[in-house]
Amino acid sequence: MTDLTAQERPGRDRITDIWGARTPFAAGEAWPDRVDEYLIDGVEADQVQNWVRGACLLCSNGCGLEVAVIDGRMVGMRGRADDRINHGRLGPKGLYGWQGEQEGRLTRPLIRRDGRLVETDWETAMGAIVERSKALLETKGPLSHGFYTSGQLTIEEYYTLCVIGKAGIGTPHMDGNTRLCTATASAAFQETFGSDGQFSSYTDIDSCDAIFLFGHNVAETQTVLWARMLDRLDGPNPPQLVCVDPRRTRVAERATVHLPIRNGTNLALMNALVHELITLDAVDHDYVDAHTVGFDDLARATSDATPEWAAEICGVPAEDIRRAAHIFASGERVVSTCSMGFYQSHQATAASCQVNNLHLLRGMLGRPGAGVLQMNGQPSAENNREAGCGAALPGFRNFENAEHVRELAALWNVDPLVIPAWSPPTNAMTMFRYAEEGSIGLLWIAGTNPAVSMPNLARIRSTLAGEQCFVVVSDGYLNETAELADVVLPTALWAEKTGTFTNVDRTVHLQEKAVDPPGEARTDLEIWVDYARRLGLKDKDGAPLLTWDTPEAAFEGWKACSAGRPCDYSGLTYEMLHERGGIQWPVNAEHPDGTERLYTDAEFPTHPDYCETYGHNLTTGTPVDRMTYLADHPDGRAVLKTVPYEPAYETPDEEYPFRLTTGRTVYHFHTRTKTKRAPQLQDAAPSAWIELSEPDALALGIREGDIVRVTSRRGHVDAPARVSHIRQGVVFAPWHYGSDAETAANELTVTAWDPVSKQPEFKVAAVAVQKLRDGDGPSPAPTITASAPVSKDDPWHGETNAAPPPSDAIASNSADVGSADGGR
Amino acid sequence: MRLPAHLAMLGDAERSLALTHRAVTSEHAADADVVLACARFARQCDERAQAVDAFAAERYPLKGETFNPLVAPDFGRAEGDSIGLLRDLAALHQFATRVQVTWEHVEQAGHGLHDRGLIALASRGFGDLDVQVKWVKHRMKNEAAQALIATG
Repeated sequence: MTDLTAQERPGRDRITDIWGARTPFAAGEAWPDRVDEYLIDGVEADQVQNWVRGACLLCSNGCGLEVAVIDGRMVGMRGRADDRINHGRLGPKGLYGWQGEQEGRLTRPLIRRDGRLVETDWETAMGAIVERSKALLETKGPLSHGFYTSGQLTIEEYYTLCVIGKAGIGTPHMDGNTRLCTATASAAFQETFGSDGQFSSYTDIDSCDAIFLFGHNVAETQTVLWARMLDRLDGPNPPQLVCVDPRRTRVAERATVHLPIRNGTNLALMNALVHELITLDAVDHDYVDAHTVGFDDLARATSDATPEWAAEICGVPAEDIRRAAHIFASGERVVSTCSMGFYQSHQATAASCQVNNLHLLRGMLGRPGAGVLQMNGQPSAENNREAGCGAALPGFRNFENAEHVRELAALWNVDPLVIPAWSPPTNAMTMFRYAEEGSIGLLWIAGTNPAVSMPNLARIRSTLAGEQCFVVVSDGYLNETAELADVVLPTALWAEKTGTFTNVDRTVHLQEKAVDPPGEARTDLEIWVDYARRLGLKDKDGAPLLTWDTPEAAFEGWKACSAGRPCDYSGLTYEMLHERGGIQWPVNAEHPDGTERLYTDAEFPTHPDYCETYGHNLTTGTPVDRMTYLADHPDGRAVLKTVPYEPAYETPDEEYPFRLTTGRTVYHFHTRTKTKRAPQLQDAAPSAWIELSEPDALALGIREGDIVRVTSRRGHVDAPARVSHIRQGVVFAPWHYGSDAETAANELTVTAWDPVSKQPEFKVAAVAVQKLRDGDGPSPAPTITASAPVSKDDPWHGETNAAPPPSDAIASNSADVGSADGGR
Repeated sequence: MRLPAHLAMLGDAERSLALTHRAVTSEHAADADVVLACARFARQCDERAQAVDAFAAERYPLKGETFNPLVAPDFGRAEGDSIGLLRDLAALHQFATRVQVTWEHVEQAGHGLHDRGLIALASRGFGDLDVQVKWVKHRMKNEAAQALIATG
């Protein structure tokens, strides 16, 4: 472990030193430990009564940690050095975010009376829900019910609701807010490999020779993973780094090649990169012939996608696209990551599949240092996907495979007809449409805040506030969504309950209960078990449908459901997770200690009787039928596919000349329900801002801090301007700030989504910008992240903006402006 | 030869299909996926209409005979809810299938004439319509249960 002075003690300054002290290491070496710790003022480590094991739930890393407890109250955090994800480190949200659970919590149920939410007791609240539920089931049947959940709950909770919804009520209307952040990761895996499931490992970062980050500002969204990358970049034989992002992020600053493409043009770039690999014949033909189908179609589909063609569309030099392709072509061990910049866009699945395709063409997966990490946004998003709480059957089963449905019916002892498998499960966007028209008459929202996070908020608020749908919200806070509900149930949050969750590289952690929830708050598991029993849900023999009421018993139920499927948990126990920390699935008799990476034998889960899907038309989203799928004979081989690039749903015009993109800052999580209550995090990014480039600011007469209005066809937001290094013609708005309609970025976004993953388009909307008034100082945007201000002292100043191109011209190349210390 | 009249009818049918898609988009503005897909399909219909017109003008110009147009189903009276959407999609499916079949007839004629250009044009048209028809069918399948059980 690295020795640090008291002044350097990690955790004291993770706001200004976001990634902490460097611990460089060389390719193939183990990432050194560095334990970060934060205890509230006045508390020393030797005063802590209990260190309770678990993992952070504030980004998809899921860093192993211990919760410090004194007298039944959380007083701090420290990272676990023996955890494979973080080796002791914690980021700003991990160290400080938990404090948000100690402020502003709901402690009693609320019910709407005469238009107002008033406190009530559990009996009244649950009674009202069940009464409405029974009435709807009798009059309209199971399709009157919808459940919209989260990426924040535990496996045990997701699986319990899955059984209620899919085996008890029988509704196809179940989805999570994972639709907003991680649906494309799942869809891209399914299209290429036949099933969801991250196949690579974070340890691949430790030995790779190149890292490609596609729309992934890892420096802010997963700070500890970026620390791992930084330690490789500062080590003796650093990997080359390619960054695709219209903003000059901290990742871009370290890049060998930065491709600041116009937002909304990802697929044009990806088709060109594949074109270049094929043109260079940098293809592992033996691998492709043996382990894939579709190469000829892929080559045909990309034959005209030259770098020059893509350069025109993407607005970056063709030479930079070639350089990126050459790095990929010459790498021996390449890791690619893919995230929201790709996922929240109109051709999200197609672009993300092309990332998979790059690796298949080079045979570069299933071995150390070579693979793809299709990222998640939330820490337990993976579990919503795999446990069947979202728009999928549990265990990555195929709803079009009657045998898979029969397996579940046998497991749950219900008639297979009850399980909603007659059409694709409903996605969140469609669920809200049904709630809007009232055909969903009861919408239960758990652990998420769609009144801020969904696109086109005016429409969402109207839907939730209307009389046509009874809205139940289970949450820890009276957030913007809860304020519109008919019944609000106070819930226990992280570390106030025991349960498991799985991070983005299949690492399962057990979070043990550290403290009691406040007031009368209950766990989501307790609430749903109570709901099922009050509703009288039975199996086909008349026994209670749910056979558990504790987290560990629910976990045992999930283990049985997952057995034999790709996400096999059958060999895991709470005891193993307590003792060892994070363990990667599958864990079963064949892999009793877990599995570091999948597809090491290039055998993919595409067999028609095993796969999760037969695939989709990537342009329209229409499912491929079984017979067509069989005709391609995937049978364990991966599927190479793409489609032509199409412009974004909404592109700039005279009235709305800028391209809006929305995104995240390092200091906040989602809609800030927790992080705005953590003083260090809130102080670091207290309110919204709007980023625009220096040439655009000059042209509009806007200076740093001036109050500007951004207007789209759907609404407007007002906020101080940050003049930053963002690409000219692009405007950035952080999406966290929904406390009033004036600053919620989703007032501006378009109601549209990728046709396959159904993930909303948050990365392109046409907007206009105008100055409202002078500001009284700099904007509140953080200054050491991608939102850093343009500064005359900045060595970069002038390189991207001194001779500003017209907004649709090719962006100046940032390829050689990475820091001098590695990464070239 | 009656192919010129058939091609002229096909061009008009594609334009009618484009209008039909646009009628669906305006009638069901709340269903964003329908709006986006039908808008894309409408553009493609217009492009195919132009392509078949241009091809016919050069190779198979009208000689006087014309066929009765394929008549698009009546749109715009359905309600903008799930059941209205289901009805409109069913009508759209019927018309798109009719246009697809018309392309198939052209492809057969191309084979009979040994006209590779016509075969290629018709094959693309048939394939494009196949994508549309499958999408409409898929979308109806998604909507049917909700429309018939949970509305009203």
